Amino acid sequence: MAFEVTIEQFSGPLDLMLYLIKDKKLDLFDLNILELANQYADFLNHAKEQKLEIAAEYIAELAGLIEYKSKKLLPRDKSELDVKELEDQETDLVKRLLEYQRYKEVSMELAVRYQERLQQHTKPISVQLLKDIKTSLKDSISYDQTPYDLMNAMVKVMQRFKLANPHEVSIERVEYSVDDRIISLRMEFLNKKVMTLDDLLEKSPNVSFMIVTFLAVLDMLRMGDLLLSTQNDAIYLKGAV
Amino acid sequence: MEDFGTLEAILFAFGDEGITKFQLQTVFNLDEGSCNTFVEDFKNHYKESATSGLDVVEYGGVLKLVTKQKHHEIIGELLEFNRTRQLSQAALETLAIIAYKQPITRVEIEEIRGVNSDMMCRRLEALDLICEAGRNDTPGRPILYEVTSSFFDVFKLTSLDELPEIKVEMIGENHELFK
Repeated sequence: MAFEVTIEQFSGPLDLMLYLIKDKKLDLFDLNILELANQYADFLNHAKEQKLEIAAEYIAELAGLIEYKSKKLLPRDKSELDVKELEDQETDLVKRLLEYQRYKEVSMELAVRYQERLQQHTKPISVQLLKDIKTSLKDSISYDQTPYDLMNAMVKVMQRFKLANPHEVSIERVEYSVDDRIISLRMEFLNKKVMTLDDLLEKSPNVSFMIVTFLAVLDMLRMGDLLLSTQNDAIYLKGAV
Repeated sequence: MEDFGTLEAILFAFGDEGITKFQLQTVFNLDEGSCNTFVEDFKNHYKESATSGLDVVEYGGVLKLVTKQKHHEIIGELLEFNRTRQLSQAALETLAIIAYKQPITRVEIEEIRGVNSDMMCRRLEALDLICEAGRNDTPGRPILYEVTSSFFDVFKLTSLDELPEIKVEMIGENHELFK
């Protein structure tokens, strides 16, 4: 059996079941849960072989199917109670699948609307104008509003505040290593290229990179990787290899 | 009274913030009925205009000036589209469930989806597509969720009534499902 789909494609265990039902052209209203349980187990086993992470929800749903399957297959009393219990389990699952399917269908329609909306562009209101917006039209506000209206108003105020006061940006400190810099400098000095120390340092994007570059140059001179010459106040460096 | 130019100027100035009909009623000193007619006429004016690249939309009770959808392609050539603006299928499903069943608790959402939805609810809340709408009076007082006004905007909706109709296939009590 060829599985061309992976577990990540599904948004949950019910989504997977619906796929299997559709794939096998099973009728939701006339569903053979034994068959579904087998397919479901096959699929998860296959996913496991591919070392895909299977969330607990999938396993829980499979456990339910296997429980149903074992009850159905085991020889047992054909008492009224047992039959009723099995039927309830079947009805429950089908009900859940149908309900889930409805929301899945609707969500596809929502997706279309979402895409359409992305194609209608607005211009952002200017920050200055946003600050000046009158928040209340004093004479016309109604007083029968709920705390949630207040909450929504607060959310809006916060959004405006965020817009008018952009976040401070924190800069991540990148650690440079002298060893890494030596490796990159060796590449730069390949073919006996000559550079002045000033050139090299000026190209550094920041102070720490400059210091690391300087330390790397010192180290390379010590190891004999670089040759140094001073002329007219300038320090020339040349690859020694 | 019906000054299209004035309304156009207002909508341009307010951009994506837009303006509510209620605000328009106040500014133009109109009653609700004539304000609705004014807005409808104004919308049609744009819809029918061959020379204007703009449309007037009313999503979530807010009126906005937007570019016509047919110009998206050409505008798109000047834009770098941000893939993060895509909503996943799981996010859409969760939103659909909340929109149809609101106010709804996280556990009720999970019962329908069969998947833990804690992170998803938080993400949707952070995207300002759902918000807390109080708490349920059941043990643990779980949070109730509902959709926000930006939900309406993002899905081109004026109200929840415009949501696609859900096809209800009821399973009859006596329906023989399995033979």
